[in-house]
Amino acid sequence: MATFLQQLVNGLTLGCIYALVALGYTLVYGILELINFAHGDLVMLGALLSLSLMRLFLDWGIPLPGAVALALAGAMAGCVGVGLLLERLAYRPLRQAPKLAPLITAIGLSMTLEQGAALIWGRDYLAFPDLGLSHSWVFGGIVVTAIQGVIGGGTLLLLTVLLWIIHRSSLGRAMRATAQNPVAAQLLGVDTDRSIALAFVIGAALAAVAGLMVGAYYQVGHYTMGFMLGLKAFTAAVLGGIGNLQGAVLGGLVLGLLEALGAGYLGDWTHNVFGSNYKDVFAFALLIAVLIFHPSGLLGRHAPEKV
Amino acid sequence: MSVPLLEARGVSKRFGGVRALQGVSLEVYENTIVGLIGPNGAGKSTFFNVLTGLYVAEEGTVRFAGRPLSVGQPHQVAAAGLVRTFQNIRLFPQMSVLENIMVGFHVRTRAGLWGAWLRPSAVRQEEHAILTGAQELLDWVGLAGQGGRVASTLSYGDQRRLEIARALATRPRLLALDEPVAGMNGVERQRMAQLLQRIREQGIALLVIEHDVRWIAGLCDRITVLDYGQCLAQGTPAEIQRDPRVIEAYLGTAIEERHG
Repeated sequence: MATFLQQLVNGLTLGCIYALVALGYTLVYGILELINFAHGDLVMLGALLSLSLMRLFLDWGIPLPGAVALALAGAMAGCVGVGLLLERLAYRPLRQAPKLAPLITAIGLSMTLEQGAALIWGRDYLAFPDLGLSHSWVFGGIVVTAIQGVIGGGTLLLLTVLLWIIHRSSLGRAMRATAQNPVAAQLLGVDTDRSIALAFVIGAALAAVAGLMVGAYYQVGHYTMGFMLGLKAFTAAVLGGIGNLQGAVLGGLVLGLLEALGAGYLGDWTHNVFGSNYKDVFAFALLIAVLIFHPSGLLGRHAPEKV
Repeated sequence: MSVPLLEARGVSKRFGGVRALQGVSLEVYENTIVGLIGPNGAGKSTFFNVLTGLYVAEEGTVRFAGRPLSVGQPHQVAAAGLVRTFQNIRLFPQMSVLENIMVGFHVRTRAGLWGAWLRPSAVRQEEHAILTGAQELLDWVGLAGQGGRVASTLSYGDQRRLEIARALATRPRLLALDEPVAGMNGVERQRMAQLLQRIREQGIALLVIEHDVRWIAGLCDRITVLDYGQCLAQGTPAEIQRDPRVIEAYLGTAIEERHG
Protein backbone atom coordinates (compact mmCIF):
# COMPACT_ATOMS: atom_id res chain seq x y z
CA MET A 1 0.00 0.00 0.00
CA ALA A 2 2.82 2.38 0.86
CA THR A 3 4.46 1.71 -2.51
CA PHE A 4 1.15 2.37 -4.22
CA LEU A 5 0.59 5.68 -2.48
CA GLN A 6 4.19 6.71 -2.99
CA GLN A 7 3.96 6.00 -6.70
CA LEU A 8 0.68 7.90 -6.77
CA VAL A 9 2.46 11.00 -5.45
CA ASN A 10 5.36 10.58 -7.85
CA GLY A 11 2.98 9.94 -10.75
CA LEU A 12 0.87 13.00 -10.02
CA THR A 13 4.00 15.16 -9.94
CA LEU A 14 5.08 13.85 -13.31
CA GLY A 15 1.50 14.14 -14.53
CA CYS A 16 1.39 17.84 -13.62
CA ILE A 17 4.38 18.50 -15.86
CA TYR A 18 2.86 16.46 -18.69
CA ALA A 19 -0.39 18.32 -18.26
CA LEU A 20 1.23 21.75 -18.56
CA VAL A 21 3.03 20.70 -21.74
CA ALA A 22 -0.01 18.88 -23.15
CA LEU A 23 -2.02 22.10 -22.78
CA GLY A 24 0.34 23.79 -25.24
CA TYR A 25 -0.25 21.06 -27.82
CA THR A 26 -3.98 21.08 -27.36
CA LEU A 27 -4.37 24.88 -27.44
CA VAL A 28 -2.63 25.16 -30.79
CA TYR A 29 -4.34 22.08 -32.17
CA GLY A 30 -7.74 23.33 -31.07
CA ILE A 31 -7.38 26.55 -33.00
CA LEU A 32 -5.26 25.53 -36.04
CA GLU A 33 -5.55 21.74 -36.19
CA LEU A 34 -1.77 21.81 -36.22
CA ILE A 35 0.42 19.53 -34.15
CA ASN A 36 3.23 21.80 -33.11
CA PHE A 37 5.98 19.23 -32.67
CA ALA A 38 8.42 21.98 -31.73
CA HIS A 39 6.46 22.53 -28.53
CA GLY A 40 8.48 19.95 -26.54
CA ASP A 41 11.62 21.83 -27.45
CA LEU A 42 10.16 25.00 -26.01
CA VAL A 43 10.09 23.14 -22.70
CA MET A 44 13.77 22.32 -23.16
CA LEU A 45 14.42 25.96 -23.98
CA GLY A 46 12.55 27.01 -20.85
CA ALA A 47 14.62 24.63 -18.73
CA LEU A 48 17.98 25.67 -20.16
CA LEU A 49 17.13 29.38 -20.13
CA SER A 50 16.06 29.26 -16.51
CA LEU A 51 19.14 27.19 -15.67
CA SER A 52 21.51 29.75 -17.18
CA LEU A 53 19.61 32.76 -15.88
CA MET A 54 19.45 31.33 -12.39
CA ARG A 55 23.20 30.75 -12.33
CA LEU A 56 23.73 34.28 -13.60
CA PHE A 57 21.44 35.90 -11.04
CA LEU A 58 22.92 33.83 -8.21
CA ASP A 59 26.38 34.94 -9.30
CA TRP A 60 25.20 38.52 -9.07
CA GLY A 61 24.33 37.82 -5.46
CA ILE A 62 20.56 37.97 -5.87
CA PRO A 63 18.95 35.85 -3.14
CA LEU A 64 17.56 32.51 -4.25
CA PRO A 65 13.81 33.28 -4.34
CA GLY A 66 14.45 36.44 -6.34
CA ALA A 67 16.81 34.65 -8.69
CA VAL A 68 14.24 31.91 -9.32
CA ALA A 69 11.46 34.39 -9.96
CA LEU A 70 13.58 36.48 -12.31
CA ALA A 71 14.87 33.40 -14.13
CA LEU A 72 11.33 32.12 -14.57
CA ALA A 73 10.21 35.50 -15.94
CA GLY A 74 13.19 35.53 -18.30
CA ALA A 75 12.56 31.97 -19.46
CA MET A 76 8.88 32.75 -20.06
CA ALA A 77 9.76 35.84 -22.06
CA GLY A 78 12.30 33.85 -24.09
CA CYS A 79 9.92 30.98 -24.79
CA VAL A 80 7.05 33.30 -25.68
CA GLY A 81 9.36 35.19 -28.03
CA VAL A 82 10.49 32.02 -29.75
CA GLY A 83 6.92 30.67 -29.85
CA LEU A 84 5.69 33.86 -31.50
CA LEU A 85 8.57 33.77 -33.95
CA LEU A 86 7.73 30.20 -34.95
CA GLU A 87 4.10 31.13 -35.48
CA ARG A 88 4.85 34.27 -37.46
CA LEU A 89 7.71 33.04 -39.62
CA ALA A 90 7.03 29.33 -40.04
CA TYR A 91 3.36 28.51 -39.48
CA ARG A 92 1.45 31.60 -40.59
CA PRO A 93 2.77 31.54 -44.17
CA LEU A 94 1.64 27.91 -44.39
CA ARG A 95 -1.85 28.42 -43.03
CA GLN A 96 -3.53 27.80 -46.38
CA ALA A 97 -1.11 25.01 -47.33
CA PRO A 98 -2.01 21.30 -47.17
CA LYS A 99 -1.88 19.94 -43.62
CA LEU A 100 1.32 17.98 -44.17
CA ALA A 101 3.41 21.09 -44.92
CA PRO A 102 3.10 22.68 -41.47
CA LEU A 103 3.49 19.26 -39.85
CA ILE A 104 6.81 18.66 -41.55
CA THR A 105 7.80 22.24 -40.78
CA ALA A 106 7.06 21.53 -37.12
CA ILE A 107 9.39 18.52 -37.11
CA GLY A 108 12.06 20.61 -38.82
CA LEU A 109 11.65 23.39 -36.27
CA SER A 110 11.99 20.86 -33.47
CA MET A 111 15.35 19.73 -34.82
CA THR A 112 16.42 23.32 -35.40
CA LEU A 113 15.64 24.27 -31.82
CA GLU A 114 17.47 21.22 -30.48
CA GLN A 115 20.59 21.79 -32.51
CA GLY A 116 20.45 25.51 -31.80
CA ALA A 117 20.34 24.74 -28.10
CA ALA A 118 23.27 22.33 -28.50
CA LEU A 119 25.30 25.16 -30.03
CA ILE A 120 24.50 27.49 -27.15
CA TRP A 121 24.54 25.13 -24.18
CA GLY A 122 26.71 22.31 -25.51
CA ARG A 123 25.97 18.61 -25.61
CA ASP A 124 26.77 17.78 -21.99
CA TYR A 125 24.30 17.26 -19.18
CA LEU A 126 24.13 20.44 -17.15
CA ALA A 127 23.52 20.51 -13.43
CA PHE A 128 20.44 22.48 -12.45
CA PRO A 129 21.07 24.92 -9.58
CA ASP A 130 19.76 23.66 -6.26
CA LEU A 131 16.49 25.42 -5.48
CA GLY A 132 16.67 24.40 -1.84
CA LEU A 133 13.50 22.39 -2.22
CA SER A 134 14.93 19.03 -1.23
CA HIS A 135 13.19 19.22 2.13
CA SER A 136 10.69 16.42 2.49
CA TRP A 137 7.85 15.36 4.74
CA VAL A 138 6.79 11.83 5.62
CA PHE A 139 3.09 11.09 5.90
CA GLY A 140 2.56 7.52 7.08
CA GLY A 141 5.51 6.19 5.15
CA ILE A 142 4.91 8.31 2.03
CA VAL A 143 7.59 10.85 1.22
CA VAL A 144 6.52 14.14 -0.32
CA THR A 145 9.30 16.52 -1.25
CA ALA A 146 9.00 20.28 -1.32
CA ILE A 147 9.63 20.38 -5.07
CA GLN A 148 6.70 18.00 -5.57
CA GLY A 149 4.52 20.34 -3.55
CA VAL A 150 5.70 23.33 -5.58
CA ILE A 151 5.04 21.52 -8.86
CA GLY A 152 1.55 20.48 -7.75
CA GLY A 153 0.66 23.90 -6.37
CA GLY A 154 2.14 25.75 -9.33
CA THR A 155 0.23 23.59 -11.78
CA LEU A 156 -3.03 24.15 -9.93
CA LEU A 157 -2.47 27.91 -9.95
CA LEU A 158 -1.63 28.00 -13.65
CA LEU A 159 -4.63 25.87 -14.54
CA THR A 160 -6.92 28.22 -12.64
CA VAL A 161 -5.51 31.24 -14.44
CA LEU A 162 -5.66 29.50 -17.81
CA LEU A 163 -9.24 28.35 -17.44
CA TRP A 164 -10.20 31.84 -16.33
CA ILE A 165 -8.57 33.39 -19.41
CA ILE A 166 -10.14 30.89 -21.80
CA HIS A 167 -13.64 30.75 -20.35
CA ARG A 168 -14.18 34.06 -18.58
CA SER A 169 -12.30 36.72 -20.50
CA SER A 170 -13.03 38.52 -23.72
CA LEU A 171 -9.73 37.34 -25.21
CA GLY A 172 -10.48 33.73 -24.35
CA ARG A 173 -13.92 33.98 -25.93
CA ALA A 174 -12.33 35.41 -29.05
CA MET A 175 -9.90 32.47 -29.08
CA ARG A 176 -12.65 29.90 -28.75
CA ALA A 177 -14.69 31.68 -31.40
CA THR A 178 -11.69 31.57 -33.74
CA ALA A 179 -11.31 27.85 -33.07
CA GLN A 180 -14.97 27.10 -33.74
CA ASN A 181 -15.57 29.27 -36.79
CA PRO A 182 -12.73 31.53 -37.93
CA VAL A 183 -14.66 33.25 -40.74
CA ALA A 184 -17.58 34.21 -38.53
CA ALA A 185 -15.18 35.35 -35.82
CA GLN A 186 -13.34 37.60 -38.27
CA LEU A 187 -16.52 39.19 -39.53
CA LEU A 188 -17.59 39.94 -35.98
CA GLY A 189 -14.40 41.91 -35.57
CA VAL A 190 -12.18 39.30 -33.94
CA ASP A 191 -8.59 39.64 -35.10
CA THR A 192 -8.08 35.93 -35.72
CA ASP A 193 -4.34 36.30 -36.33
CA ARG A 194 -4.09 37.70 -32.84
CA SER A 195 -6.18 34.88 -31.37
CA ILE A 196 -3.91 32.32 -32.99
CA ALA A 197 -0.78 34.11 -31.77
CA LEU A 198 -2.28 34.15 -28.28
CA ALA A 199 -2.61 30.36 -28.33
CA PHE A 200 1.12 30.13 -29.05
CA VAL A 201 1.92 32.70 -26.37
CA ILE A 202 -0.01 30.86 -23.67
CA GLY A 203 1.40 27.50 -24.74
CA ALA A 204 4.96 28.84 -24.72
CA ALA A 205 4.55 30.46 -21.31
CA LEU A 206 3.29 27.17 -19.86
CA ALA A 207 6.18 25.37 -21.56
CA ALA A 208 8.66 27.68 -19.84
CA VAL A 209 7.17 26.95 -16.44
CA ALA A 210 7.14 23.23 -17.19
CA GLY A 211 10.78 23.51 -18.24
CA LEU A 212 11.79 25.06 -14.95
CA MET A 213 9.80 22.43 -13.06
CA VAL A 214 11.23 19.46 -14.91
CA GLY A 215 14.75 20.86 -14.62
CA ALA A 216 14.38 21.44 -10.91
CA TYR A 217 12.74 18.03 -10.38
CA TYR A 218 15.44 15.97 -12.09
CA GLN A 219 18.14 18.59 -11.37
CA VAL A 220 19.54 18.29 -14.85
CA GLY A 221 19.27 20.10 -18.18
CA HIS A 222 20.10 18.79 -21.64
CA TYR A 223 19.38 19.91 -25.18
CA THR A 224 17.43 16.71 -26.01
CA MET A 225 15.29 16.75 -22.88
CA GLY A 226 12.33 18.20 -24.78
CA PHE A 227 12.00 15.36 -27.26
CA MET A 228 10.67 12.51 -25.14
CA LEU A 229 8.83 14.89 -22.84
CA GLY A 230 7.14 16.52 -25.81
CA LEU A 231 6.19 13.17 -27.28
CA LYS A 232 4.67 12.03 -24.02
CA ALA A 233 2.81 15.29 -23.50
CA PHE A 234 1.46 15.07 -27.01
CA THR A 235 0.31 11.54 -26.26
CA ALA A 236 -1.31 12.82 -23.08
CA ALA A 237 -3.17 15.45 -25.12
CA VAL A 238 -4.40 12.78 -27.53
CA LEU A 239 -5.35 10.49 -24.66
CA GLY A 240 -7.45 13.24 -23.09
CA GLY A 241 -8.97 14.23 -26.42
CA ILE A 242 -6.86 16.69 -28.38
CA GLY A 243 -8.31 20.17 -28.57
CA ASN A 244 -9.94 19.76 -25.16
CA LEU A 245 -8.24 21.64 -22.30
CA GLN A 246 -9.63 19.56 -19.46
CA GLY A 247 -8.71 16.50 -21.51
CA ALA A 248 -5.09 17.58 -21.73
CA VAL A 249 -4.89 17.90 -17.95
CA LEU A 250 -6.62 14.58 -17.38
CA GLY A 251 -4.48 12.86 -20.03
CA GLY A 252 -1.30 14.26 -18.47
CA LEU A 253 -2.22 13.08 -14.99
CA VAL A 254 -3.29 9.63 -16.22
CA LEU A 255 -0.09 9.21 -18.20
CA GLY A 256 2.04 10.28 -15.24
CA LEU A 257 0.22 7.85 -12.96
CA LEU A 258 0.49 4.95 -15.41
CA GLU A 259 4.18 5.56 -15.81
CA ALA A 260 4.82 5.75 -12.07
CA LEU A 261 2.72 2.70 -11.29
CA GLY A 262 4.45 0.81 -14.10
CA ALA A 263 7.81 1.77 -12.65
CA GLY A 264 6.72 0.67 -9.18
CA TYR A 265 5.08 -2.63 -10.00
CA LEU A 266 6.33 -4.04 -13.30
CA GLY A 267 9.15 -5.93 -11.59
CA ASP A 268 6.82 -7.52 -9.04
CA TRP A 269 4.16 -8.41 -11.56
CA THR A 270 6.50 -10.06 -14.06
CA HIS A 271 8.88 -11.63 -11.54
CA ASN A 272 11.57 -9.27 -12.76
CA VAL A 273 11.30 -10.31 -16.41
CA PHE A 274 10.48 -6.66 -17.11
CA GLY A 275 11.98 -4.04 -14.81
CA SER A 276 10.92 -0.48 -14.14
CA ASN A 277 12.80 0.56 -17.28
CA TYR A 278 9.79 -0.82 -19.18
CA LYS A 279 7.51 1.79 -17.62
CA ASP A 280 7.13 3.67 -20.92
CA VAL A 281 6.16 0.49 -22.74
CA PHE A 282 3.60 -0.24 -20.06
CA ALA A 283 2.15 3.26 -20.18
CA PHE A 284 2.00 3.41 -23.95
CA ALA A 285 0.47 -0.07 -24.27
CA LEU A 286 -2.37 1.06 -22.01
CA LEU A 287 -2.73 4.24 -24.05
CA ILE A 288 -3.05 2.26 -27.24
CA ALA A 289 -5.71 0.14 -25.59
CA VAL A 290 -7.67 3.25 -24.56
CA LEU A 291 -7.45 4.74 -28.02
CA ILE A 292 -8.59 1.52 -29.68
CA PHE A 293 -11.82 1.57 -27.69
CA HIS A 294 -12.22 5.35 -27.53
CA PRO A 295 -10.41 6.89 -30.50
CA SER A 296 -11.42 10.49 -29.74
CA GLY A 297 -9.75 10.29 -26.33
CA LEU A 298 -11.14 10.30 -22.82
CA LEU A 299 -12.92 13.66 -23.07
CA GLY A 300 -12.68 14.23 -26.82
CA ARG A 301 -15.66 14.87 -28.97
CA HIS A 302 -16.18 13.01 -32.17
CA ALA A 303 -15.02 14.68 -35.35
CA PRO A 304 -16.54 18.17 -35.60
CA GLU A 305 -19.67 18.41 -37.69
CA LYS A 306 -19.28 19.64 -41.21
CA VAL A 307 -21.49 22.59 -42.05
CA MET B 1 -29.11 62.12 -46.59
CA SER B 2 -26.51 63.33 -49.05
CA VAL B 3 -23.66 60.93 -48.27
CA PRO B 4 -24.61 57.25 -48.35
CA LEU B 5 -23.57 55.07 -45.43
CA LEU B 6 -22.44 52.38 -47.83
CA GLU B 7 -21.41 53.22 -51.34
CA ALA B 8 -20.18 50.58 -53.79
CA ARG B 9 -19.03 51.86 -57.17
CA GLY B 10 -18.36 49.66 -60.19
CA VAL B 11 -17.37 46.56 -58.22
CA SER B 12 -16.07 43.68 -60.39
CA LYS B 13 -14.93 40.28 -59.25
CA ARG B 14 -13.71 37.35 -61.36
CA PHE B 15 -13.17 33.73 -60.44
CA GLY B 16 -10.88 32.39 -63.16
CA GLY B 17 -12.90 32.90 -66.33
CA VAL B 18 -16.19 33.47 -64.54
CA ARG B 19 -17.26 37.06 -64.05
CA ALA B 20 -19.12 36.92 -60.79
CA LEU B 21 -19.64 40.68 -60.55
CA GLN B 22 -19.43 43.26 -63.30
CA GLY B 23 -19.48 46.90 -62.32
CA VAL B 24 -22.01 46.60 -59.54
CA SER B 25 -22.95 49.85 -57.81
CA LEU B 26 -25.19 50.14 -54.79
CA GLU B 27 -25.93 52.64 -52.07
CA VAL B 28 -27.40 52.23 -48.65
CA TYR B 29 -28.41 55.36 -46.76
CA GLU B 30 -28.77 55.69 -43.01
CA ASN B 31 -32.01 54.40 -41.59
CA THR B 32 -33.09 52.52 -44.69
CA ILE B 33 -33.64 48.90 -45.60
CA VAL B 34 -32.26 47.90 -48.99
CA GLY B 35 -33.05 44.60 -50.66
CA LEU B 36 -30.70 42.71 -52.93
CA ILE B 37 -32.46 40.16 -55.09
CA GLY B 38 -31.60 38.04 -58.07
CA PRO B 39 -31.59 34.44 -59.26
CA ASN B 40 -29.21 31.87 -57.82
CA GLY B 41 -25.69 32.57 -58.99
CA ALA B 42 -26.44 36.21 -59.76
CA GLY B 43 -23.56 37.29 -57.51
CA LYS B 44 -25.43 38.38 -54.39
CA SER B 45 -23.32 36.46 -51.89
CA THR B 46 -20.13 37.32 -53.78
CA PHE B 47 -21.08 40.97 -53.44
CA PHE B 48 -21.53 40.50 -49.69
CA ASN B 49 -18.13 38.86 -49.46
CA VAL B 50 -16.55 41.84 -51.21
CA LEU B 51 -18.35 44.29 -48.91
CA THR B 52 -17.09 42.54 -45.80
CA GLY B 53 -13.50 42.16 -46.98
CA LEU B 54 -13.52 38.39 -47.48
CA TYR B 55 -12.95 38.84 -51.22
CA VAL B 56 -10.83 41.47 -52.86
CA ALA B 57 -12.54 43.06 -55.89
CA GLU B 58 -10.46 43.57 -59.03
CA GLU B 59 -12.18 46.83 -59.84
CA GLY B 60 -14.36 49.35 -58.10
CA THR B 61 -14.46 50.93 -54.69
CA VAL B 62 -16.44 50.35 -51.55
CA ARG B 63 -16.78 53.24 -49.16
CA PHE B 64 -18.37 52.95 -45.76
CA ALA B 65 -19.28 56.01 -43.68
CA GLY B 66 -17.29 58.12 -46.11
CA ARG B 67 -14.09 56.08 -45.88
CA PRO B 68 -12.75 53.29 -48.07
CA LEU B 69 -13.10 49.85 -46.51
CA SER B 70 -9.80 48.25 -45.61
CA VAL B 71 -9.32 45.47 -48.12
CA GLY B 72 -8.57 41.95 -46.95
CA GLN B 73 -9.05 42.82 -43.27
CA PRO B 74 -12.49 41.47 -42.39
CA HIS B 75 -12.13 42.14 -38.67
CA GLN B 76 -11.64 45.85 -39.34
CA VAL B 77 -14.82 45.97 -41.38
CA ALA B 78 -16.76 44.99 -38.28
CA ALA B 79 -14.88 47.59 -36.27
CA ALA B 80 -15.92 50.21 -38.83
CA GLY B 81 -19.57 49.32 -38.21
CA LEU B 82 -20.51 46.88 -40.98
CA VAL B 83 -21.43 43.37 -39.92
CA ARG B 84 -23.14 40.48 -41.68
CA THR B 85 -24.86 37.15 -41.23
CA PHE B 86 -24.53 34.09 -43.42
CA GLN B 87 -26.78 32.14 -45.72
CA ASN B 88 -25.68 28.94 -43.98
CA ILE B 89 -25.75 29.95 -40.33
CA ARG B 90 -22.29 30.23 -38.78
CA LEU B 91 -22.59 30.20 -35.03
CA PHE B 92 -19.95 29.12 -32.56
CA PRO B 93 -21.68 25.78 -32.11
CA GLN B 94 -20.11 24.60 -28.85
CA MET B 95 -20.42 27.90 -27.01
CA SER B 96 -23.49 28.88 -25.07
CA VAL B 97 -26.07 31.16 -26.67
CA LEU B 98 -25.03 33.98 -24.36
CA GLU B 99 -21.33 33.50 -25.12
CA ASN B 100 -22.03 33.68 -28.84
CA ILE B 101 -23.47 37.14 -28.31
CA MET B 102 -20.63 38.10 -25.98
CA VAL B 103 -18.11 37.41 -28.75
CA GLY B 104 -19.88 40.13 -30.72
CA PHE B 105 -18.93 42.64 -28.02
CA HIS B 106 -15.25 41.78 -28.42
CA VAL B 107 -14.68 44.41 -31.09
CA ARG B 108 -15.89 47.17 -28.73
CA THR B 109 -13.91 46.04 -25.68
CA ARG B 110 -10.67 47.54 -24.54
CA ALA B 111 -9.20 44.91 -22.25
CA GLY B 112 -6.05 43.33 -23.61
CA LEU B 113 -3.95 40.53 -22.20
CA TRP B 114 -2.16 42.97 -19.90
CA GLY B 115 -5.24 44.87 -18.87
CA ALA B 116 -6.49 41.85 -16.98
CA TRP B 117 -3.44 42.03 -14.73
CA LEU B 118 -2.87 45.76 -14.55
CA ARG B 119 -6.44 46.97 -14.10
CA PRO B 120 -8.47 44.01 -12.90
CA SER B 121 -11.37 46.13 -11.62
CA ALA B 122 -11.84 47.88 -14.96
CA VAL B 123 -11.80 44.52 -16.72
CA ARG B 124 -14.37 43.13 -14.29
CA GLN B 125 -16.62 46.11 -14.93
CA GLU B 126 -16.30 45.70 -18.66
CA GLU B 127 -17.04 42.00 -18.41
CA HIS B 128 -20.11 42.79 -16.35
CA ALA B 129 -21.26 45.33 -18.93
CA ILE B 130 -20.79 42.76 -21.70
CA LEU B 131 -22.82 40.20 -19.80
CA THR B 132 -25.64 42.68 -19.16
CA GLY B 133 -25.60 43.85 -22.77
CA ALA B 134 -25.70 40.30 -24.06
CA GLN B 135 -28.66 39.48 -21.81
CA GLU B 136 -30.54 42.53 -23.06
CA LEU B 137 -29.91 41.63 -26.69
CA LEU B 138 -30.99 38.07 -26.04
CA ASP B 139 -34.34 39.28 -24.71
CA TRP B 140 -34.63 41.89 -27.44
CA VAL B 141 -34.45 39.41 -30.32
CA GLY B 142 -36.88 37.08 -28.56
CA LEU B 143 -34.56 34.45 -27.15
CA ALA B 144 -35.18 35.23 -23.47
CA GLY B 145 -34.31 32.34 -21.20
CA GLN B 146 -32.23 30.51 -23.81
CA GLY B 147 -28.87 32.03 -22.82
CA GLY B 148 -27.48 28.96 -21.09
CA ARG B 149 -28.13 26.54 -23.93
CA VAL B 150 -25.41 25.32 -26.25
CA ALA B 151 -25.88 27.27 -29.48
CA SER B 152 -26.08 24.24 -31.75
CA THR B 153 -29.11 22.91 -29.85
CA LEU B 154 -31.32 25.88 -30.75
CA SER B 155 -34.05 25.47 -33.34
CA TYR B 156 -33.29 26.70 -36.84
CA GLY B 157 -35.29 29.90 -36.54
CA ASP B 158 -33.75 30.67 -33.16
CA GLN B 159 -30.26 30.11 -34.58
CA ARG B 160 -31.05 32.82 -37.15
CA ARG B 161 -32.15 35.14 -34.36
CA LEU B 162 -29.01 34.36 -32.39
CA GLU B 163 -26.85 35.15 -35.41
CA ILE B 164 -28.58 38.53 -35.68
CA ALA B 165 -28.23 39.22 -31.95
CA ARG B 166 -24.54 38.39 -32.16
CA ALA B 167 -24.12 40.78 -35.09
CA LEU B 168 -25.99 43.53 -33.22
CA ALA B 169 -23.58 43.13 -30.32
CA THR B 170 -20.83 44.67 -32.47
CA ARG B 171 -22.99 47.85 -32.50
CA PRO B 172 -23.10 48.09 -36.28
CA ARG B 173 -24.32 51.01 -38.34
CA LEU B 174 -25.20 48.65 -41.17
CA LEU B 175 -26.35 45.08 -40.77
CA ALA B 176 -26.09 42.90 -43.89
CA LEU B 177 -28.25 39.78 -43.88
CA ASP B 178 -27.76 36.91 -46.32
CA GLU B 179 -31.14 35.19 -46.79
CA PRO B 180 -32.40 35.66 -43.22
CA VAL B 181 -35.71 33.87 -43.84
CA ALA B 182 -34.45 30.98 -45.99
CA GLY B 183 -36.27 27.82 -44.99
CA MET B 184 -38.79 29.61 -42.76
CA ASN B 185 -42.57 29.34 -42.94
CA GLY B 186 -44.94 32.28 -43.35
CA VAL B 187 -45.37 33.01 -39.65
CA GLU B 188 -41.64 32.91 -39.02
CA ARG B 189 -41.04 35.19 -42.01
CA GLN B 190 -43.51 37.66 -40.57
CA ARG B 191 -41.78 37.62 -37.20
CA MET B 192 -38.39 38.10 -38.86
CA ALA B 193 -39.72 41.09 -40.83
CA GLN B 194 -40.93 42.62 -37.56
CA LEU B 195 -37.53 42.07 -35.96
CA LEU B 196 -35.77 43.73 -38.91
CA GLN B 197 -38.14 46.72 -38.72
CA ARG B 198 -37.35 47.07 -35.03
CA ILE B 199 -33.62 46.98 -35.84
CA ARG B 200 -34.10 49.80 -38.33
CA GLU B 201 -35.95 51.78 -35.67
CA GLN B 202 -32.75 51.56 -33.59
CA GLY B 203 -31.04 53.62 -36.29
CA ILE B 204 -29.30 50.69 -37.99
CA ALA B 205 -29.47 50.44 -41.76
CA LEU B 206 -30.09 47.03 -43.32
CA LEU B 207 -29.03 45.36 -46.53
CA VAL B 208 -30.96 42.15 -47.12
CA ILE B 209 -30.45 39.36 -49.64
CA GLU B 210 -33.61 37.38 -50.26
CA HIS B 211 -35.40 35.30 -52.85
CA ASP B 212 -38.95 35.84 -51.68
CA VAL B 213 -39.92 38.93 -53.68
CA ARG B 214 -43.19 39.59 -51.94
CA TRP B 215 -41.55 39.38 -48.52
CA ILE B 216 -38.73 41.71 -49.44
CA ALA B 217 -41.02 44.16 -51.26
CA GLY B 218 -43.01 44.56 -48.07
CA LEU B 219 -39.88 45.21 -46.04
CA CYS B 220 -37.51 47.35 -48.10
CA ASP B 221 -37.32 51.00 -49.05
CA ARG B 222 -35.28 50.26 -52.13
CA ILE B 223 -34.35 47.13 -54.06
CA THR B 224 -31.40 46.32 -56.31
CA VAL B 225 -31.76 43.43 -58.74
CA LEU B 226 -28.65 41.50 -59.76
CA ASP B 227 -28.54 39.19 -62.77
CA TYR B 228 -25.43 37.53 -64.16
CA GLY B 229 -23.29 39.70 -61.92
CA GLN B 230 -24.74 42.96 -63.20
CA CYS B 231 -27.21 45.46 -61.83
CA LEU B 232 -30.40 44.83 -63.71
CA ALA B 233 -32.54 47.43 -61.99
CA GLN B 234 -32.70 49.65 -58.93
CA GLY B 235 -35.68 51.39 -57.41
CA THR B 236 -38.55 51.27 -54.97
CA PRO B 237 -40.30 47.91 -54.53
CA ALA B 238 -43.22 49.13 -56.66
CA GLU B 239 -40.90 50.22 -59.47
CA ILE B 240 -39.02 46.93 -59.36
CA GLN B 241 -42.17 44.86 -59.49
CA ARG B 242 -43.34 46.84 -62.55
CA ASP B 243 -39.97 46.83 -64.34
CA PRO B 244 -40.36 44.75 -67.52
CA ARG B 245 -36.67 43.70 -67.52
CA VAL B 246 -36.95 42.41 -64.00
CA ILE B 247 -40.18 40.58 -64.77
CA GLU B 248 -38.61 39.00 -67.80
CA ALA B 249 -35.28 38.06 -66.25
CA TYR B 250 -36.21 37.01 -62.78
CA LEU B 251 -39.70 37.50 -61.48
CA GLY B 252 -41.20 36.14 -64.66
CA THR B 253 -44.16 33.91 -64.20
CA ALA B 254 -44.30 34.30 -60.45
CA ILE B 255 -45.46 37.91 -60.71
CA GLU B 256 -47.89 37.17 -63.52
CA GLU B 257 -49.43 34.40 -61.50
CA ARG B 258 -49.84 36.62 -58.49
CA HIS B 259 -51.30 39.55 -60.36
CA GLY B 260 -53.19 37.69 -62.98
